[in-house]
Amino acid sequence: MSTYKPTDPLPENINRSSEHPLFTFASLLVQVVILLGVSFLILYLAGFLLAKNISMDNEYKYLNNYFVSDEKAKKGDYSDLANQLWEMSTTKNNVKFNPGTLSGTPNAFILPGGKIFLTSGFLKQTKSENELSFVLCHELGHFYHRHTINGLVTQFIVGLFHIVIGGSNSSAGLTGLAEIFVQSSYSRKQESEADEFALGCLNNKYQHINGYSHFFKKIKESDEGMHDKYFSSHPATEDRINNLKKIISDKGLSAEGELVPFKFSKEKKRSD
Amino acid sequence: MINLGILITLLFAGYFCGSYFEKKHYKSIIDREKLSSKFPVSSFTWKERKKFDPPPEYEHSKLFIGEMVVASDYFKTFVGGLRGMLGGRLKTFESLLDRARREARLRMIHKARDWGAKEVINVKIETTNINNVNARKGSKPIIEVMVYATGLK
Repeated sequence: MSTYKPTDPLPENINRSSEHPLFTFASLLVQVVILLGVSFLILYLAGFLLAKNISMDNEYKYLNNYFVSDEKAKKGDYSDLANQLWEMSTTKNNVKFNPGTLSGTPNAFILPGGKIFLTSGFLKQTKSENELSFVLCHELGHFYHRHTINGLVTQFIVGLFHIVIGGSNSSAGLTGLAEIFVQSSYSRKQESEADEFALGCLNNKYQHINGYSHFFKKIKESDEGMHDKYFSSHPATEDRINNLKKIISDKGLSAEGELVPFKFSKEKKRSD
Repeated sequence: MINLGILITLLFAGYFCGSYFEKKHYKSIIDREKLSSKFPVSSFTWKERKKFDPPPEYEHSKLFIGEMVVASDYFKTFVGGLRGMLGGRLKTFESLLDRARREARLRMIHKARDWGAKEVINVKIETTNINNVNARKGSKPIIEVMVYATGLK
C-alpha cells in the first residue's frame, strides 16, 4: 500500500527552452543565409555552365519564335539595318534579326532568341540613323555576348529556387533580397559589355561614332536621379558615359562625323 | 525593399506583442498554480486509486474538461519557418504548447473545484493541430490542448 501526497509545481524551463528568442532567431538566420547562399551559388554556376553549352545557332533556332512569333511581330523597317550591323561586326551569319516595335516610354530590349523590340517613345525622339544604330548595336551586343540566354537560364534557376523554398514564407524575403543583388550586379557588367560591342559596331558601319551620346542625354533627362545605383539594372547613366568615353579613348575612335538623317517612319508598326 | 520593410515591421510587432502577452500569461499561470498546488491531481485510474492508503471514500464523480487554443505570433512563425528548413528543436513553439497545456489544466481544476471536488483522477491530455504551417501560405500554427479528468467528491 502506498500513500498519495500532492507535489509542488514543477520548476520552470523544463518543457520550454530558456534560450532568448532573439538569440534563436539570429543563429537560425545566419545558418539559413549560409545554406541558401551555398545552394544558390551551386545552382547559379550550374546554370552558367548550361547556358555556355547552348550555341548561338541553337538559341536562335529554338527561341526566336518562342516568345513572340514572326507573324505577330510584323517585319519592321529596321530589319535590314539590324542585319547589316550584325554582319559587319560578326562572322555568325546564320542569325537574322527582325526588330519589332511597341508603344511605350523610350526603351529598347532583346528577348532570348534575338527578337529586338523598339518602343514608339524611343523612335519619336530619335533624330538620326546613327542613334538608332547605336541602340540596335547595343541590343545585338547583348545577343553576341550571350546575355540573353544567360538571363533566361538565371531566371529559370531563380524561379526554381522560388518554387522549392517558396513554401515557407520566412525564406521568401531573404531570397528576394539576394536576387536583387545578384541580378543587378550581373546586369551592370553586361551593359558595359554590350556598350563596348555597340561602339565597335557603330564604328564599323559609319567609320565614326558620332550620335551615340544623344540617346544618353535623353535617358538622363527622363530619369534623372530616379535610379539607386545598387538596385538598378542599368548602370547609372553617368557611369555608362564615363565607361564609353574610356573605351573610345582606348580604341582611338573618331567622335566627329556626319550624321545620317533618320528616314524611317516614326509611327509604330503594330497595334497589339 | 518595401516587402522587406513590411517583413521587418511585422517581425518587430510580433516579437514585442508576443513577448508581452506571453510574460503576462506566464505570471498568471504561475500564480494560479501556486493557489492550487495542494489540490490532488493524478493520472491514476479509479482501480489504482482504490489501492492507496487510506482508501478513498467518495460518493460522486464527474467528468471535467479544460481547453485552451493558442496561436503563434508572426515572429515565432517566422523563426519556425527558418527552423523548418534546417530541422531541430522548435524552441519558439515550446512555450506555446507549455502555456496551452498548463492553462487547460488550470481551467479543468477550476471547474472541478467549483463543483466541490476533493480530488481529480485519471487526467488525460490531448493536443490538436488546428492549423499547420504548410497547410496554406500565410497560415499560422494554432494549437489546441484539451485536458480532461474525473473529479471526485
